[in-house]
Amino acid sequence: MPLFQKFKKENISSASQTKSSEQRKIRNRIVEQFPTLTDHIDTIIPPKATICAVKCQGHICLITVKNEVLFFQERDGPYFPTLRLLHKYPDMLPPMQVDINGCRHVLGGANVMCQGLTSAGGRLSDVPEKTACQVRIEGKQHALAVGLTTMGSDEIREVNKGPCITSLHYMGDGLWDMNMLE
Amino acid sequence: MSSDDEHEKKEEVAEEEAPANDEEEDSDEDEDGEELLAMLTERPAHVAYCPTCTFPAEYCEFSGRLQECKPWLETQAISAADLKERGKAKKKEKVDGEKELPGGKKKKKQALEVVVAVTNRGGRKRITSIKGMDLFGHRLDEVAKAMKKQLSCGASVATSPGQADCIEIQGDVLDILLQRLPKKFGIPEASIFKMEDKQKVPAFAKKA
Repeated sequence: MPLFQKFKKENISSASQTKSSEQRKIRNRIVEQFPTLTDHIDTIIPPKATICAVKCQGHICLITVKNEVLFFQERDGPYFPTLRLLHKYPDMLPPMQVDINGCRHVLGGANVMCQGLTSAGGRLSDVPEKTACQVRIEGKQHALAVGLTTMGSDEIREVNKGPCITSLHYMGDGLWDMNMLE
Repeated sequence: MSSDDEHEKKEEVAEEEAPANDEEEDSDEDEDGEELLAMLTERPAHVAYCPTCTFPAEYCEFSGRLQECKPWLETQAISAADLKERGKAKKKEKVDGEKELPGGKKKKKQALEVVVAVTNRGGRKRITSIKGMDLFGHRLDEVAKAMKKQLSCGASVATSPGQADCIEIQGDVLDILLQRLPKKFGIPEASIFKMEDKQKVPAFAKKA
């Protein structure tokens, strides 16, 4: 089941401000993961601002700055941006475009199928498997979901069957609704 | 710059950009296009989210709420006339108190009423249970305490999984309760019910 489909305030277990040493670690990790953000990291996470780590059920941790949720991570895994942040910095993640007919399904939290990417309206970026990517729709400017590839782009083109991107966070899910937290 | 033109141009360039958005295309457009491109690649990009469905304007048609979004779309200078609702229709706002359990069953709306019931607890002992006090804004533990004092009986809050908490009073104090509930606890008489032969019956039947 998609990560944040039924996510609500009740799923939050605790929120704690991070120490500055932790903050530095987080900032560095993010810049490492998303090199396109190097110039912008100070706008996203101002050096003086306090990062709040919000822990949620299912070993999920949300990174918030000034009450705005910016990133999420599962256990101690890689950070993924929230869609709203991705909209502000669309170069963060490699885009994988699905043709327009997939839009409804992605909006319901469905995983992306190979055929969506290889069809006429789809576009693939060259990425290996297990890469964070953004799901886009032909003709639309904004990303629809944040996902993780389960197959490399070559494999996707070759096999062309079955799911290839796991949807982690999509527009309209619990996390999308909750961009401002107290 | 009228927001009209601005947005129109944005849409145009966006169509071109969307497929190959990794590269910074130096389009063979005039200077205007280049300027626009610069604005589009400005970070952080500004996004306008629809106040109704919370999606960016281009996704309103997939929100299931296109009709409500239309007025806002007009202000964004997007003609919503041609757009068809392409999203799953969102379920209507849940009726107050109605909860949809996984599997589609609907939990019954908790009726705003107080039900008093007397049950047997071995031999001559009875227990009077009151359900629904919390719906009227009373704190159950405080009510139990008050009952204990007033009635000189044992009283406690009984919690059972899946059922609303109720107050249990030792002994059969039904009649006294029926006097006290409206007066001392402010429960309207019409909302008080008692269990008679396993049927819920209004406690204060109007005399014809």
